[in-house]
Amino acid sequence: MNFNSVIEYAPLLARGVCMTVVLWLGAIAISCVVGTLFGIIRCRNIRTNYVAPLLDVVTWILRGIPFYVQLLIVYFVLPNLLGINLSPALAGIVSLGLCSAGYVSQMIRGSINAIADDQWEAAWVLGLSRAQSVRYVIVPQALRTIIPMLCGEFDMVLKSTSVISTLGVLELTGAGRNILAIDMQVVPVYCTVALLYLFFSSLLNIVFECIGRRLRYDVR
Amino acid sequence: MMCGKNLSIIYQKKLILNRVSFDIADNQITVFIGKSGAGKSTILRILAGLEPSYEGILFYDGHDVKTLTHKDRVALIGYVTQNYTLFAQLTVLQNCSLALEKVMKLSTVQAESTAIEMLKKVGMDSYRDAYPCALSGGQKQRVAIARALCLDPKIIILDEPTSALDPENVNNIVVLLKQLAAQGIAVVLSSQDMAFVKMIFDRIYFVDNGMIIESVDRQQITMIDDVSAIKIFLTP
Repeated sequence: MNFNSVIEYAPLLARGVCMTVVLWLGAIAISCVVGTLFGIIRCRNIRTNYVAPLLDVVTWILRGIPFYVQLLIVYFVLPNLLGINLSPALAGIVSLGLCSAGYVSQMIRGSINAIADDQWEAAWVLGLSRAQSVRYVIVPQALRTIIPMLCGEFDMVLKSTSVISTLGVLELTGAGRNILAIDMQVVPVYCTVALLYLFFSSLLNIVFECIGRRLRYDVR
Repeated sequence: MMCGKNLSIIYQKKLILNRVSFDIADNQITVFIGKSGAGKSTILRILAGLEPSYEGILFYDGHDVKTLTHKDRVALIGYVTQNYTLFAQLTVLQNCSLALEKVMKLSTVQAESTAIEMLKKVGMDSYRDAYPCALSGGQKQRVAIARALCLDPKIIILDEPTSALDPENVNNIVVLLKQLAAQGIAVVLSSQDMAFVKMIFDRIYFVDNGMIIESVDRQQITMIDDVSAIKIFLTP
């Protein structure tokens, strides 16, 4: 096994890593904002008659269609339907972020619904508004169960960035394939690409483990 | 003085409270007793504002309580649930100061100082930095009372306050609630612990099947006849 080609094309791989991180962080940002908003609005104690059912349908669509198909729709169908032209990378970020938001929304809704009703009532009898109850009482408690699930979801988002290479985006997997096209060293190139994904995945798990530990008020 | 007139409530087409009327006097401990499912907790929940869909009128000093704003209502009535419902992610001090800061808009220093004062009142100021999971049932109970007292309510409501307490903690709660009543706070509670009720009540309402079927003051308790539902219920 010869890793010379990997070393020789390290700058290309580094560019791929950078693009993967950009896609990943962009998608996570959209996923967090949209997923949190949808999750809170759809939870049992806040649901309204009109907005929540609409968001239920949106979430159902986002979760029901494979990410790859959503990517193709955002990149190829939106320009035809709405005249919105996105670059391949931006289309990847938007579609991956929205796809993940569907799952994040379910996680947040489930975790908030799991908080006992008497916590809402205790907040209410203390005079807190719904928004204050969510901010100061419900979400901090729900975070304990949301954090491990979010870790798994963001891990999936990281790995799903590789699908965006099908639009020609030179992220990590795409960079690996380009190196392979020049120098046919299959094993070292794919092993390096796999190890880099493993590194970022492990980093994510360590970060979330630390966050999870900080939230464990029962052992402080 | 608070009084409820003909309060009724229906859950899922079932009449849970049927035209219930009662008076709650300042400086007094008013106790609702009765079997499980009789409607005691529902009365307390209506008082606390947790059951807004009731029929009838709830007055405080001649004003319909429904006309009060949320903030005015919580300043009038404090509520302690059966299982205390402290916020697990907050320390004892934060549990007590949260509403003062976020609802009453006090500064953190002022809110914490008031909270510490209330914690001292219930003998829990040394636990200010503890999390609820580190407290016993009796300690949680006292913190929950301190949290309710922080908003300086005229009425404090406790649902089954002794249900998870040992005899020593029951005695502590009796002393504390009598002190609160002596300070002018109207104490309202529900209980099935008759030994506790006998020690504490100024007025008892007997609730059965969604109706108040009997009421008696402490001064009258020796005068009621032996077939009285309250007397039978209070007799071990």
